[in-house]
Amino acid sequence: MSQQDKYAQLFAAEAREHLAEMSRALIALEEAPEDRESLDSIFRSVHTIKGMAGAMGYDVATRLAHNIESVLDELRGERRDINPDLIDLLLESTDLLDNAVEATVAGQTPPDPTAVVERLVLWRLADESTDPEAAVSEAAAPVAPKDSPAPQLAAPAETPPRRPASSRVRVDIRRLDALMNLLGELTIVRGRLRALVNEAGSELMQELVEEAGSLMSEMQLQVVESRMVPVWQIFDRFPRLVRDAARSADKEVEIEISGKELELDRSMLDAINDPLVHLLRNAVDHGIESPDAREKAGKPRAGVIELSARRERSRVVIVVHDDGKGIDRQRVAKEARKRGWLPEDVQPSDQELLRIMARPGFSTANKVTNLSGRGVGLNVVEDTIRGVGGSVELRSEEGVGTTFLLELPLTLVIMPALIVEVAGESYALPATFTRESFETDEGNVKQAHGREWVTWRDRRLPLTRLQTLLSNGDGNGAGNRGKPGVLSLVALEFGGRQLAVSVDRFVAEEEIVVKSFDPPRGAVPVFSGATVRPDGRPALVLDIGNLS
Amino acid sequence: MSRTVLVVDDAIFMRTMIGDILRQAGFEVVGEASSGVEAVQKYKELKPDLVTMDIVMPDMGGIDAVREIIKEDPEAKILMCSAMGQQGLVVEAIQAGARDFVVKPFQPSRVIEAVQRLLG
Repeated sequence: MSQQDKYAQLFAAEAREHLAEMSRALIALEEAPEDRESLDSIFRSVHTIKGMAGAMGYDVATRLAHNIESVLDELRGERRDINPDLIDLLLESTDLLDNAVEATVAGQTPPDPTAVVERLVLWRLADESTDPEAAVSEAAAPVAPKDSPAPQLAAPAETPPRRPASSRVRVDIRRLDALMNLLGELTIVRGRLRALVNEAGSELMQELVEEAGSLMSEMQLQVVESRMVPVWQIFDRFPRLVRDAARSADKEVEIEISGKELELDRSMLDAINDPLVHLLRNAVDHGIESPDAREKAGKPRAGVIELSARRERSRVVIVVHDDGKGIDRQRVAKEARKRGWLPEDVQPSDQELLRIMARPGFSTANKVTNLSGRGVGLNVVEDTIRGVGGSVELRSEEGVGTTFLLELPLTLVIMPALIVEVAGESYALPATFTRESFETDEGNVKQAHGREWVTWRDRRLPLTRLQTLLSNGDGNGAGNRGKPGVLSLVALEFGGRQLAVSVDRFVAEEEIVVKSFDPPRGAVPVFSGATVRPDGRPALVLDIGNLS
Repeated sequence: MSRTVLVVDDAIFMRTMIGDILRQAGFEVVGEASSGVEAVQKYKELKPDLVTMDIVMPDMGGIDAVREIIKEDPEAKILMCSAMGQQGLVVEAIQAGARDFVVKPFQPSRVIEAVQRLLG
């Protein structure tokens, strides 16, 4: 990596943190305009970004940051009112600065900041204590010499410097992924080595192989842990999101966040951002009532959304709760019956409500969406959360509020799975998609619509025989087939669809370490990754979404 | 023996850049601090030949840190790293005991020049 790239990466990482902090603190400032600490914090962040952008020769970002800083400087002088319009302007400027930073770092042309800069200057001019000419000339003139490139530096000094005082380093996540993959490879090699040693090796050799194994497990754990980042990295953006959504919906909404120091795998955090945005938007748009309606219902005019994260054993639970009107159960049930998804006389449970609303057919029906207010994107939310090995739970009480619980594994690389055997090979089924394993007589398999079906809990599930699917069509493998005439089945559920797969044998439930996997050319496209069993043998992870 | 420097700035980016400039010129960066409080503590601990000091930082700004360090060691050599538009603060820092200042964005030659002049 060149020195310039190194600086650009440092700049990007640090600027992003400061931008997130600016958004957070701006919202806090709006709520408590007298809060000196928020103001100081925003000032420091934008000041730091200005300094860094200047050093990188990023003119647009520098100019924007400088003008935001000037506004904040006046505010620090306590000469001016902090009102929602000003906060809007500052948030908008922060967004633009964010865009400028990202574009510049990506080597693209940053957006033209002139319009926003003019508004920042106008705000300053609206006050008599600012010297108009100074404000204008400052805005127009670049703060750094236009053509000053970032300092060009040669290779680092030859003598290695003494270890710097800072005890943290930033690492590209791809390096940690690579490290994890190498560890996976190493585990496989150790498996082979162990098999050889067990056959012919001495006791000492066996001991050493075992010791190497436990050291590798420890290493794996260390790598997993180093991928963890606190959830505030995304949570801190949400007050802004909720505020904007509430403003455009003419509602009064407060957001309360807790547990934001909790740490999650970086990729997991990236994956849950969009689902959380969906749930929060839905809570504002459809959950929280208008201030008048709330008053009529005897509630405070401002609704409250609670967002929290907490650890429960090896899982993380993220809760999105609103104290709004809840889901209209009758209407959802009525629509579901119309589509034949729900028997006439059955009242749906909370979890069944979620099943119904997360069905693709439900969310596309616009009328229903407007009535129930919860259809949009719920299927996306569910699929995404399940895709990372998590699950979604719904609790809703009419007039009182709606709660979504997202339960997630701590990391994407370790997940619970059901290990099964087919034709002598082991396969892993991610446990979030498995409903139940059961046995049934061959005689219970029915033919209909050109495929096989089995009955599970009074439901007919399409049956996929893994023996056929995984053996490239040559029929029965050489594996242990269990009792003759009896099928070993796993009921699976994915994105609201249920299916059954047949296997030769259930082996175990295990926490597996998933390794990314490039399937060989021409392989059946049903694998999402690979893992190494404790005995050193590999097992492929089945991609449930592709099985039916 | 190369001269030792303590680099104080709340941005890792800036610390890295200043550190690289100094190391390249043969100075030894013995420590870094990201706040005024940390700077004062590191100064006592490391007794560096020179300190580069940012002005705007959380947890005690650079000017207060200069006062504290000068109280501890009136001979301390502190170079202020200021941004454009902070002339007033630079003057305050010099009054508090800082010896010189450089303005961000840095020209490496200007930084080295200032450091060498201070360390004579």
